[in-house]
Amino acid sequence: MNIAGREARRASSPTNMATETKTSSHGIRNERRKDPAWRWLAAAAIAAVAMFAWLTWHAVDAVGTLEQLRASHARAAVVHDSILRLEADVQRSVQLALATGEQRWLDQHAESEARLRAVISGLPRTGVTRGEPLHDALEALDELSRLEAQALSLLDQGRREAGFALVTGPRYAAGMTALGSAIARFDDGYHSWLLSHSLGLTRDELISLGGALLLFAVAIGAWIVLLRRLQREKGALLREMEARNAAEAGLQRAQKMELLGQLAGGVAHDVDNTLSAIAGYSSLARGAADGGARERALAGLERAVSQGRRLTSNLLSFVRHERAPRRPVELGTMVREMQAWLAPLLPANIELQLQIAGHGELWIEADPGFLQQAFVNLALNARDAMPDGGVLNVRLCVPEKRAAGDGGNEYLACIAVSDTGCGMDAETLAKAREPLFSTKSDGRGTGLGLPSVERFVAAHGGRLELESRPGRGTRARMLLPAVPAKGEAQAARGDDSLAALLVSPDPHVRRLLAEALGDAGLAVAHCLALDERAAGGTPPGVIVLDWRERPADAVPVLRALRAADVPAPVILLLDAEDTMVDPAVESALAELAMVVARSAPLGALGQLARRLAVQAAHKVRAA
Amino acid sequence: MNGPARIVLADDHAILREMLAEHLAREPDMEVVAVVASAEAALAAALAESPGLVVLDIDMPGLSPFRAARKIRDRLPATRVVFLSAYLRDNYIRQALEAHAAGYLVKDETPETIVAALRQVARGRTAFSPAVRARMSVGGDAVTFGEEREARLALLTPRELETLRYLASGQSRKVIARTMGISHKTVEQHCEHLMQKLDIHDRVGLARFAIREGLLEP
Repeated sequence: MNIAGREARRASSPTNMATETKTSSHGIRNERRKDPAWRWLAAAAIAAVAMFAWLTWHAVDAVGTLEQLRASHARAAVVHDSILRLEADVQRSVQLALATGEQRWLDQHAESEARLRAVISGLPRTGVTRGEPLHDALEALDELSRLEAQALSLLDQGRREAGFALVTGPRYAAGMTALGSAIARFDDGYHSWLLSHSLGLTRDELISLGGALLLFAVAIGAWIVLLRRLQREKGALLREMEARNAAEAGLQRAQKMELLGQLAGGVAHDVDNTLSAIAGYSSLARGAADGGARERALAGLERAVSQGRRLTSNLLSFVRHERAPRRPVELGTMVREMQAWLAPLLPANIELQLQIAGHGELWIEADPGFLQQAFVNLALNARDAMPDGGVLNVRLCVPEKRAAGDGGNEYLACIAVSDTGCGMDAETLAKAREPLFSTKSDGRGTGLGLPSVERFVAAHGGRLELESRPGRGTRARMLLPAVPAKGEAQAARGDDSLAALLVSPDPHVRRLLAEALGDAGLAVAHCLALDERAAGGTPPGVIVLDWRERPADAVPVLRALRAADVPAPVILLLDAEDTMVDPAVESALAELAMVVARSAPLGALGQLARRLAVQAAHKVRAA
Repeated sequence: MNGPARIVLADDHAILREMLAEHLAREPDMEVVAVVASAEAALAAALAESPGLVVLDIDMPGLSPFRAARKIRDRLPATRVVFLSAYLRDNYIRQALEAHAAGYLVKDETPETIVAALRQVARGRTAFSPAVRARMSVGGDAVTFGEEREARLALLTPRELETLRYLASGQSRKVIARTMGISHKTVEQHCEHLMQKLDIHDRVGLARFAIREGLLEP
């Protein structure tokens, strides 16, 4: 498995998911700094600290409250005891005073009552407001005092039994009960005030909260551990990705250098061929016996030089990704021209056979340089397949009708180059179109020949077919869209029917436009104004009208042209700002002419005029 | 024209310089008054000789030939400058036109063509190699030079460009007509024209072209 394959596997592993889209190491470092996980971690830590503080506060408060409760209970118990004792004391002393009539019981009674009042008044009033239990207690005590006073006055009147009955009777008992219940209510109230005044946590609640806190701490801890582990893994991945990027860059560099080397090899090969031809022709010229032979050798020399020049210009346009302009090329003529160029490259044991007559002219539209190069590539492949000699056959075939719905031209013209060499088995044949695949030994092949042919053919809307049988030879067929023979032939020869009529009032512009149309293979007639020429003379294939008036004024002129039965399409050149007109004029102009801004590049304009002229010629022929 | 055209020839490639000088020497209506190897030398020779024509190679070391051309134009308004270069670069063509060059010839041309072009310039006309001319345009009064992303696109009018955008984004012609406020027939004509201009004759091809040229989001 190559490096790319391994990288692909690694890239698809699940641990890579989080970082799979990050490509540059610089970007990755930034991502890490902005990683939201760090913010989440900080937030969690703050939350945990806050929660700890909150719970601790509650716990401290709860301890304090418990202490207070305990103290309050102890105090309440003491107070309760003393109250009960004093109550009993009050009751007993008054009963004894009444029973015995002794002064000392009366004194003790008064003292006990005063102490009871003092104890009740000394009880804390904070927080216990509802029902006013201490007030009730004091009122109950007052009621008891009133009963005692009544009993004492009964005693003074000598009615001891009645007085005694009063302090032991139900009214007195009810007063005692009211006093007790008021005191009890006070206890309850104070107790609940203490509880409500604390934060309201019971011991169980504290235990369960502590448990939750512990769980929370455990979870946070686990999360932190997990995050740290993730960070570690991420760091490892980042390092790996950086290494991978570096490796990829290195690989790309290496591939570029390799391709450059191969390209240089291919070019050197082609240049070498050209130089061989030049050397051959020079020696022919030097050793020429007569003027005719020297002339032929010099002509060959010129051909070789122009081939070399095409090579470099093709290479430059390849490097600049330019699309070379296409021109009509007659395949028979091209092959005949190339025959003179190929002959010096073929060893004596290879016979070159041309079968190019019999089908009339076969025209295609192509960049001639690329076409020749593709053809030479096929021929040299055939040569190299026959180290022991054989027959190299070049044949032009009858145009084949293209499958319906394929678009473009209807017919495909074909050049077949076949050899009687070693041939290829099915496996080799299947690989033959792959770039950098070559069966040629000792570095003679670059593996770029057939791919470049295929690229050329595909770019021209055709296809490359290969047939081969081991031991029998190989046949390569370039199928390229044919253009109708007659019109194109005329176009290439500058025939009148591909003529353009150029109308421009400006002599300088007219000259430049005429030259540009001429460059596109049109025969140009020009005049100052339309009416000069439109009616008479050879009907032009296209009219280029350099209009300097208002766009709307062109409408009647163009209508008059149509009325005069001039069918040629019109290219109307307007100032760029005039190409935006109101819808009525826009519709009228669209119907009559093709509007082009005058600032359009002359090359593109020439090509458009040519296309229109070719189509017009087809229409005329069809009619 | 009175007498032969007097020419200063500047090229740092000796072999090419000598070859051209040789060719020009054979022409009866031309006279090479100086053959030099730099733009400085060409400027000096031009100021000394007041020639009719100065031929400048573009890729010469030292003084920029475009600056030399501007100086020659300032000092000798009657002298015409023709650039000769092995390279066809947009940047060179623009600078040459800005320097009001009377010609820009590429070295691919045969010596005969170059001589014929120089003769044309000597007679007061301009001479541009076809490949150079293809990249020029005649917008307004002056010859200008437009660096187009895609030369064919410059053939479209704004309305055709708009139609192309709608068409490539898959709208029907009826909808396009309504959007643009023109008749269905005019939309059809715009479509036909833009297909002719771009030499693309199906919708898929148009969409692909529009995306490639950045007229449409893919």
